[in-house]
Amino acid sequence: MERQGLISILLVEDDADDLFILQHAFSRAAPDVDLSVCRDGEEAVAFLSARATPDAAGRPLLVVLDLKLPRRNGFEVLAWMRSEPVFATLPVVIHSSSQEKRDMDHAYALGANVYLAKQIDLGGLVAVVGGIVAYARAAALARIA
Amino acid sequence: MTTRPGGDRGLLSEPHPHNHIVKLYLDSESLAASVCVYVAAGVGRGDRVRLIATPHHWELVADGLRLRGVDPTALCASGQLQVRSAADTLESISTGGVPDRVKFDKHVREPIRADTRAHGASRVRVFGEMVDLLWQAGDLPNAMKLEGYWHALLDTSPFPLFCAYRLALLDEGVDAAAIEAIYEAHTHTLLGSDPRRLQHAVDRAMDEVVGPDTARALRPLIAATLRSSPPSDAAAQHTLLWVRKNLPSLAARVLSSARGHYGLAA
Repeated sequence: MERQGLISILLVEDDADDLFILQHAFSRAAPDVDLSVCRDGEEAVAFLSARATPDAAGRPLLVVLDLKLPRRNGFEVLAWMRSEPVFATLPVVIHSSSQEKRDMDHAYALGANVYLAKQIDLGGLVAVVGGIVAYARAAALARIA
Repeated sequence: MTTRPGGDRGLLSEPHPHNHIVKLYLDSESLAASVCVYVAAGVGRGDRVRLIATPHHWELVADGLRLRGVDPTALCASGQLQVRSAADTLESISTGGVPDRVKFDKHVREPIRADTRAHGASRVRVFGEMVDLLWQAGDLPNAMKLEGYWHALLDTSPFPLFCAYRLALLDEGVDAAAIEAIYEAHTHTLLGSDPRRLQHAVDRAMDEVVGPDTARALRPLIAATLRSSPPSDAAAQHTLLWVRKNLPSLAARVLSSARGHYGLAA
């Protein structure tokens, strides 16, 4: 698990190329974001479990979650999060190569907030990542207000 | 789900047999105007037109047809236009207030299939309000159940189907899941609102509630968010649903502000 600055976001992604592109998009869209990375589902659950108190250092404001992950897939991680009261409303953005209706319906039924298809257009991804950061900020402010 | 601006006469005039159009409306006059276009264009090209409507809406539609020089009485007498009471038909297809598949098949499916067999799928068009009666009674599950019966019928005997829900997009009392279910049950959505004015109102509301920078940043994310239904081409509608689902504690403020900018009571 790696960590890098202010708003904390957790990326859960096992594919090295997809992770590189995503990190690059974050560095372009929001270089001040405190980005943490987990490479499989089990690591993500352990990472979040260690930050289960609301004031825990490095506790993410949002999770970007791939679906096809080793050890525990994205659906399992999402289901675990929604079963934990402390993570039940934490925004989750699914970032997946699948655009199958079955996967979208399943993810939304489990409580995903946003479902995004992986894309290779970096400009488009940077804009969407800017939106993810804005969403994390807005959701955090809404919780405080 | 594809969204067309409120005045999309082309879709109503020349619907394809697989089109399942829904209009979200607030006032009966707005709905009746759309139904008038649908009916007048249909009878003008020789289609069989079947309405399952409330008496009030039928009165408005009939008045509208007369204004267009179309005689509804003569059309009904010839059988080209057939009008049935939505409440009575709903009762005839229900058991204990719940839509019944066997009764639907007998009272709705068979007469329509007989029409499509006799005249061809592209020569029959239907408008129905039974789902709206269930929706207005607060019974979305049974409205969706009935939509399912219509879908099954459309799968086997395609014809254009037009229905309506009395629903205010800017009303914070409407549940996001209900709106989404209605969108997903249809191929095309007509907005009762002026789409450009609605877009402007929603943009102003987002700027006010989350701030212009955040609102601007959110747009690409909202646009990229996938649903299992086809993407909407009405950004305001998509934004409102997105905010209701993902920023629920801000939704009431966004909707209130948008109502004000749209010219409705905030």
